[in-house]
Amino acid sequence: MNKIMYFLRMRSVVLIIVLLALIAVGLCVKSSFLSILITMITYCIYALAYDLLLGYANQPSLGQSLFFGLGAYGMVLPIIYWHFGFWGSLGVALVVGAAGGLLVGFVAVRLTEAYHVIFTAVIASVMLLLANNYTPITGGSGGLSFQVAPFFSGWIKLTVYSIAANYFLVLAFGVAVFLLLTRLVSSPLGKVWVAIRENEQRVVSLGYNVYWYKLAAFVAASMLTALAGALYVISLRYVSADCFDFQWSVLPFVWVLIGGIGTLIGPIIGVVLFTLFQFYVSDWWSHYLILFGVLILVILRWAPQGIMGYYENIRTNKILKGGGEHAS
Amino acid sequence: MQFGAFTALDGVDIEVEPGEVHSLIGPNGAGKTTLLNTIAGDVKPTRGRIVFDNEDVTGLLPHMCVQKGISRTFQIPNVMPGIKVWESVWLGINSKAKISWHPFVGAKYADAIARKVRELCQIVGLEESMDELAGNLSHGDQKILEIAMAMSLDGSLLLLDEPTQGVSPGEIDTFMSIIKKVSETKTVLMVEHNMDVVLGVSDRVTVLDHGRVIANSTPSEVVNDEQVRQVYLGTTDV
Repeated sequence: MNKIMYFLRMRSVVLIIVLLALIAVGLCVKSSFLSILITMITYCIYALAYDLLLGYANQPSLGQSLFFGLGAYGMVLPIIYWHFGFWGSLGVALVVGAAGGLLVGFVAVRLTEAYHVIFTAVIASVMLLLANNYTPITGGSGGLSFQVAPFFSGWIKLTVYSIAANYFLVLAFGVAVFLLLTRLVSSPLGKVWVAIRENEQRVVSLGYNVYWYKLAAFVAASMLTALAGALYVISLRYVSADCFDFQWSVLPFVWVLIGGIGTLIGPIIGVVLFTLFQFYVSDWWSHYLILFGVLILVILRWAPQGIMGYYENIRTNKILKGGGEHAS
Repeated sequence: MQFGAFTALDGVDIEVEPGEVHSLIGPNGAGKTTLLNTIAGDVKPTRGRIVFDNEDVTGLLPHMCVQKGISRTFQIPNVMPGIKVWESVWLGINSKAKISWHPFVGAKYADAIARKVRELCQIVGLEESMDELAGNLSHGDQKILEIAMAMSLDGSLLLLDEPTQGVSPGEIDTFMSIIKKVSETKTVLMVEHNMDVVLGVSDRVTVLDHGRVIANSTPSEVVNDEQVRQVYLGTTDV
């Protein structure tokens, strides 16, 4: 047990060091690297939301682009048409994301595995079609650009046109989402999700109405995905129907898969790997995705549960070999 | 109870008195497990009624039956492999505590529930392996965990589906003492093949054959019943 506590403490120390490093980077590093980090943190929120859905509540949705796009447009349209401020439109984006999640989830969570995948993917592609065709509202694939007025967060007046301010805003959301999910997955609600993933029928026999628990996970994930979409377009000051593109449904799956399903650190590792690859390898070869595909195969060949899963296996074996109190 | 053209239970009329240990025996395919599934809400009867505690519970969904106080175990250990033993028991207690929706819970509540989990694990003798993953337990211990999970729901009726199936002969006594301990506070209806267990713990025995009740009385009378000996016990001495 002491060893487990030791590793837990180690983990928080590492996380605090990473956070301090990120703050230091925000204060002194040049802007082009900051924009990569902004993208990474936005992706991290998205990946964490997807991990909550797939890794904890066992729902393999392939339609998350729907909620990413809803968050993006939920953020932008109020700014353009009703001149909402940042917080107002962020609120709209989250509500729209959650409402979309509720509507789709109402049917989707009743479906298992392949049916869940197909249903969510179909709904998302219908939405992509609609977004491409309703150009007067969405701007289609040409997109819309917009201005974000400076806004107050606490006492500080922020403008996203300063890249450092933009970075710290996104970082604050990223840290908040990470802490929220850390707390959530160890709460009673989170434990029930894991139990449903492990053996749904048994959870029913333990007196839980699993439908509502699965729906709650779906809605929570949709809402966080919408947050990621909103932050993404805020940082770009541009939105287009591409936010509903199918790639936005596949990306979270890839991130979570290589990083490690069912851990909160895994998706972050997946995002960092993928984004670094995207930015640096694409510089010298535009077909970098082929290389990335090979990398995924290599990782999953030796670490079928992703990088974090691999690490945790080694760690558990070490604890057991070390002869801890509960070793068998 | 019918599955298509096949009648699994045919006019079964059985009464379980509060506080008793009631065993269901009968040859394979007699409908014993189907009867448990029907009572637990896992299958819906085509005809007939199930009355529990003066309340009609026919056709209720499984999780509702649990909330009414009917909990069950499974014949083949049906645990959650990647979850620790104490968490499995915790899930049951939590399901009754009505706060399972609370995203964040205070330490005081967590302590109270942790004490309950430990107590329950001690009753069934699993306190040594509370931190093990349920999937890593031996078959016998998984069967014990099944019982502990059913008990954690704090229902008044416990349905045990072959609690000692596949358990080594040396462990049978442990199971009998657990069942006896459980029956001090709860009503037990169990399907069981091991006659030593049936005769050792039951207050009443019902014999099913081809979906019909062919005998329903005390263990000693059932053993001596001519019809029962023919269809089930054969000619072996018991």
